[in-house]
Amino acid sequence: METILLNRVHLENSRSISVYTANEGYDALKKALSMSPSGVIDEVKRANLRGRGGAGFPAAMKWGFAAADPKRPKYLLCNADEGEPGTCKDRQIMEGDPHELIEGMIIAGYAFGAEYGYIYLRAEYPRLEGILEQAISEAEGKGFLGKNICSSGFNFTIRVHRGAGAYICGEETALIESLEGKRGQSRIKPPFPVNVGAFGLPTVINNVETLANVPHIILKGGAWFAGIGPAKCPGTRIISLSGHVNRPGYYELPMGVTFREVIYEHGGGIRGGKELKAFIPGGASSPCLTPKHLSVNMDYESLAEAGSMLGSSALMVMDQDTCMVRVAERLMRFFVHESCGKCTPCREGTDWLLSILERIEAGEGKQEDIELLRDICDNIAGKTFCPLGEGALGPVRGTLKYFEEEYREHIRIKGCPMKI
Amino acid sequence: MRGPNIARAAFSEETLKRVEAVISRYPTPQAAALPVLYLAQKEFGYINDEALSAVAFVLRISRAEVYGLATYYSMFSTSPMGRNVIHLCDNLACTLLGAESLRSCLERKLGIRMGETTSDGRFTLRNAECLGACGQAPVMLVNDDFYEALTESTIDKALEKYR
Amino acid sequence: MIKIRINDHEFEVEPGLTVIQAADRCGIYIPRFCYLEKLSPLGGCRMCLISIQGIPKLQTACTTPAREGMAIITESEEIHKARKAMLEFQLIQHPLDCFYCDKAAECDLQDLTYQFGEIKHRHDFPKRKGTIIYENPLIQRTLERCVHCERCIRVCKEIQGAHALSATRRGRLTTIREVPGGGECEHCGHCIDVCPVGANLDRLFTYGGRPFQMEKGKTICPYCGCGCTLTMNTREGMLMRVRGGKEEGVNRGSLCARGRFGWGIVHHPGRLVRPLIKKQGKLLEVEWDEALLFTATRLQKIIKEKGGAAVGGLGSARASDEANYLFQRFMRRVIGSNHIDSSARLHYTAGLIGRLGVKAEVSEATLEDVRNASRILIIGADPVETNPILGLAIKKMLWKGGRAVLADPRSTRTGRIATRHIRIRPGTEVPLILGLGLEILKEPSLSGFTREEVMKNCGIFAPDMDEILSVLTGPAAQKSVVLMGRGVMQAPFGATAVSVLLRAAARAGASYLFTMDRNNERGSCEMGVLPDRLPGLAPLSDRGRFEKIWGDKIPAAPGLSAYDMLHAAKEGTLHALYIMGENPMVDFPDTKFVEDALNSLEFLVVQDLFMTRTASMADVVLPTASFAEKSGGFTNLEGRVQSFTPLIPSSVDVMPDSRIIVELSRKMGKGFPFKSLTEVREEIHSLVPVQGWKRKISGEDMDLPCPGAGVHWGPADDPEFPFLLLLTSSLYRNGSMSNLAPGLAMAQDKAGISLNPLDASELGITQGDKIILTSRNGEVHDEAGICDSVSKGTLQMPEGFANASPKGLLSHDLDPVTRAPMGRYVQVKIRKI
Ligand SMILES: Cc1cc2nc3c(=O)[nH]c(=O)nc-3n(C[C@H](O)[C@H](O)[C@H](O)COP(=O)(O)O)c2cc1C
Ligand code: SF4
Ligand code: FES
Repeated sequence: METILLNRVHLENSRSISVYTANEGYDALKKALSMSPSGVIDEVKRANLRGRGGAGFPAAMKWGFAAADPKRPKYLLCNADEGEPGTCKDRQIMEGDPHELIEGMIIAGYAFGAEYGYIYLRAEYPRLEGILEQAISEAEGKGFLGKNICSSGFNFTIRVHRGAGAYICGEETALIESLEGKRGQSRIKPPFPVNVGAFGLPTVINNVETLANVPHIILKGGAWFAGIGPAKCPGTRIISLSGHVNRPGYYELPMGVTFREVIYEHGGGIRGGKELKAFIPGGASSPCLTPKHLSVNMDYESLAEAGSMLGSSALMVMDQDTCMVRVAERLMRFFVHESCGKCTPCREGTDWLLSILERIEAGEGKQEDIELLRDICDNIAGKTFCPLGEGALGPVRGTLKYFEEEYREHIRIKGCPMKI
Repeated sequence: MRGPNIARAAFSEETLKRVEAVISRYPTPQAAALPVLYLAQKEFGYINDEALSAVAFVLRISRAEVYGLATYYSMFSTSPMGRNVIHLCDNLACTLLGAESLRSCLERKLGIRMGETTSDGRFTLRNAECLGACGQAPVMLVNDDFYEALTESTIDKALEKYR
Repeated sequence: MIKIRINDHEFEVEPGLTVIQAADRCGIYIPRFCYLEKLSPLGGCRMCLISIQGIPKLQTACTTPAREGMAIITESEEIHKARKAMLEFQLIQHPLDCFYCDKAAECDLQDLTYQFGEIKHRHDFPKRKGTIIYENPLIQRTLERCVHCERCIRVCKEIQGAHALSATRRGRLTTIREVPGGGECEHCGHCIDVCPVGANLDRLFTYGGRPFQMEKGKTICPYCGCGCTLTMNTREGMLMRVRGGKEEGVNRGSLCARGRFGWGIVHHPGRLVRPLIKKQGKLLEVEWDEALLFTATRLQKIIKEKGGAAVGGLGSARASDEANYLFQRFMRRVIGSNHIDSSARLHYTAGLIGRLGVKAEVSEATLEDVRNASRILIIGADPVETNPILGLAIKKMLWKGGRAVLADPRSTRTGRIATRHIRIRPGTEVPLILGLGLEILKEPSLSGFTREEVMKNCGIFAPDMDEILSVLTGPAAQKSVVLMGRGVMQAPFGATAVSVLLRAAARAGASYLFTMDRNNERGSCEMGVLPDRLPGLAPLSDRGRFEKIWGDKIPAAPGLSAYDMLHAAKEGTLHALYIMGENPMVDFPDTKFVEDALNSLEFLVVQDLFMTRTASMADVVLPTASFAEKSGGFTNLEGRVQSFTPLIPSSVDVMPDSRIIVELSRKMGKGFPFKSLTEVREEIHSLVPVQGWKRKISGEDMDLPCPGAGVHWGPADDPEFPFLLLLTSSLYRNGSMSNLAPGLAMAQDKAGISLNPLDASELGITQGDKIILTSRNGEVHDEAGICDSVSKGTLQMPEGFANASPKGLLSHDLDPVTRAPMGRYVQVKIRKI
């Protein structure tokens, strides 16, 4: 089976530029520099590369918008905040093959005319800062970064910017605020970052995985990439598999693989031979699904149809003994902790939801609590400033949808029927 | 409460050099806020009044703004911390695989509760929201080092390394 | 104009608005907490949700741009439910302590909750207890009432430029705080005005009454030359609080600490309530009639024996136009003396003479011009402290991309905000300007030194010089403003420097402005409180016009200026002095000399609000009404004539300045014909016309002497007094009156002497040590403050603090042109106690 992104990570010294260049590394960059910038965008458009950060926005379209804005300089921000709980995919790329990302960034920068790139690295990956900086200086040494790259006249620098522990900074405008040295809170849109982004200038924000795909697309052609996986979202996905499976970890699989295949073939099934109870398909904000959804394909459209979302493709698996109220409560605690506090419904609403979930879990729930939970969710939904508040509803709405009876039982027996 | 008295930049010469180098990497001084706060935290142990003034001075923003930043991001602390900071993840993936019992194990071993510092100043214990190593849950981060697939018995070994 | 539909009605609005702005313009109210027109949008409270045809989700009206053809619905069941949900969220943590909250009845949360009807308390968990923060002496922050609209943070940052507030922590723990320990708040109190709930409150007002018990009135601030409009709340004849008002006045709703918290002087227990006459060395209370008769008799006796010229008068840079007009009319007509001056001599006359010396058309800037300027050159001024609203205008201009170039030797607040602060050597403001004149005007009279000499002696480099010159050259100079302050006014040949810079500005098409520390420096001069100028700044040769109306002769020879009067007193040629609302013992340089001079007088009359140091030396003290108790007009630094009316009735037995003068004239047998202040105003108008809102000054092409090679390059070294003390200004003080405002004392109670850390360590001085400064003229002691930005070898100390004033250290060398004392620096030595 074909992998694209993680081909090199198992090689010895996979991080070093010599191993990278010995394995086709920076060939794509040279090829791209021989093309026109708009030619590069067209190639990526043909590949139909969609963002891997969560929203699935076509990368080439973003680049096109930024390229069309005459303001200079332009910025490329690589979103390496990887904050969505359950996700550990970008880390694999940066740790095992940092040049893949760097090459992708240089090509993207060339495509839409950026001069500066920043990698916004999540604070919890302190070691990666050194790894990336090492790779950057190697690339600079070889003339792939800096002034007049490969004698093409194109200049591009990359800096690593370490975040400081705030999930919301993964949201693109909050990321920009944070990069500018402010409290990382989302900005009002419009204007959009492609026109008014970092330091008021045109800015593209792309996920690590998105950018890492770019060298491969340039080297092998957009048509080749478009032929992998479903036509609407081709390519592969690095799936972060966690929870009650025998072989947790990360797996690069073609987009559109079924959950059954991931959990039972690659993940080796449920630990201890237990039954699957539920799984969260795409990170904390995606509502959970149940065994009857095992044959759903892991792609944007199929998951939206199933009432959840692909998000960051972080698949968290729960066995039969898992308390779903507890799951909702844990995840809600995360959102309460990470709410930036700017908008009323998210700041006050998530806290209220958490209080109710805690009391149900502790056996102090009231009959009306279920209705109240639903009503608070409705009162938050669609009214928050940024998608975080909306995402916080995923765990409650998902568990309530499939496991309402379990909530009721907590309230009835004044306690948790299954301790995890 | 006097007029134009601006506090001096109280960074050591050496840190000040690094601060200046960091600032030069950004289009505006303020953009260097996070790296400079990291440096300040390293120098002062935590973001105290002196650190606030020093950071404000070099970034050319007000102390209130620096305070707003230092309290916004989880990685900064405005109260003293131990020499080694343990972040134990208790997000879902880790909880599913037993982060709860690891937490009580750590609390027992160190004799402190979450958020506290041991009396010898050796460790501060904090919980973390997802450390991005869910495939190897449960995990903790001690200073800059990851410890994955933790069990009660591997914790001891890990803690040994830190004085 | 674009067409939009709101609730099925068609409207036309200007383009570039948000939906909420468009709705406001169309008279349709959309509820809000965080939105405020003058601030950048936040979009946080989510109260302003509306629906737009074609968009499935509700949108926030405050962040959505209104577009051509947009169909907006502001009321529907869905919208109502959503807004009610936001209110329910807001009320979760709100303490519901409206019973004793000062904001009750003018609280947006209270009003909106009432409007939406019953909201069930479904949140049955304990509330998170916020705390009440008393760290700020004047502003109480009750965090649990906060609705997180961040208006206070934004107004502090975007309008006042203080950045003293920030949101801290995050999520549900978010709290709006100053940095613990404070220190950045400038006490403008704007956060109080914009808070939609009772989270930011005026501590001077605590439990001052419910809004419906307040009477509201407007007045003009009595402190500095900006002339801000104050919206005053009064209750039962007492001032209760000041608010900025809605975008009103030159200040557009902003205020500084003095304007907002300085009103306490009106109700100060030390206010004089009854006239006093000195009998056997003691000032004793008497009836008005007796006091006036006594004054009249004594003055008449002196005039009879020694002539009118034996009497001098100080009008007031604080008193109204009308009072000053009457005062000089009284001096000239009833006393028969041209010895008339005021404290404007110290701070403004050089500017006035310099301006009068320029015949060329040179435009005066307004505060609005400053806001819209592209560049401003500030020389020897600290507008952020002395004229805070002008300071705000400069900040605004900077935020719009303008540049501010400051040439000033001191470390100042203005220096902190300036694009470029050029630290010239102390005392070189005038040579610097003459050097600029040399470059721009190339007049032979300006020769005597070279560009290189100027740069070397001012301690600046070629790029600095070019930067300064760039403000006044090129086509963009039409949007430049030059601003001068005390550093020029109180320097030798300051008037010449002013005229040179104004001519350069005229040539470049730039406009100019002077900082003015007192509220009516300009008005007092323009009313003729000058020894050689009549109302409207008319020369004495023009006196026939006035004699016709006043019906009496005006002395032909120019009178003495303030310090010349003091000298004359000391020498025994001036026998009586009438001081209306000035306090030379505190506000004039060389206190010892002033004291000797006043002691040499045969007869001293002081008219004041308080028993000032000067008043306590008087033979007669006449208590006057404060700004809140009278009518009148002040002329601000732009030349804007603004009138005000009483807010509260007079306390017992005081009279407004103007009435005292009228009564006294009558007692002296030369009564004025006025029956009311309106008649006084009419007479002023007939003699000094106001064009539109301002009084114009026109120049006369005077020949001001140019020092040439004899120019003064600042102080020479004096080994005995090795340190140079530079005088600065404080936001919290200007003049002796501000020392009696309790609110201002709370903001800052000590002047403090700032010194460089290197000097401090050499002398073994640490922060907070008591130190004594000694000069050739006197000494002063105060706390030391260590400050990086104060240059080595210099010290800085604000003037204006009565308890530790550097004025006593100064000498009073007089400028040959303006006869003003030079008082920006003095050589001192330091001793630790
Ligand atoms: C609350 C929130 C958190 C997010 N966190 C991340 C993140 O950690 N990493 C990421 O790549 N994208 C994250 N995103 C998505 C980004 O906003 C953005 O869509 C993405 O970085 C764009 O890159 P892409 O087009 O390459 O996917 C987050 C979005 C939201 C609303
Ligand atoms: S939804 Fe609101 S409070 Fe929550 S993170 Fe976004 S802006 Fe902040
Ligand atoms: S007024 Fe629009 S969100 Fe607050």
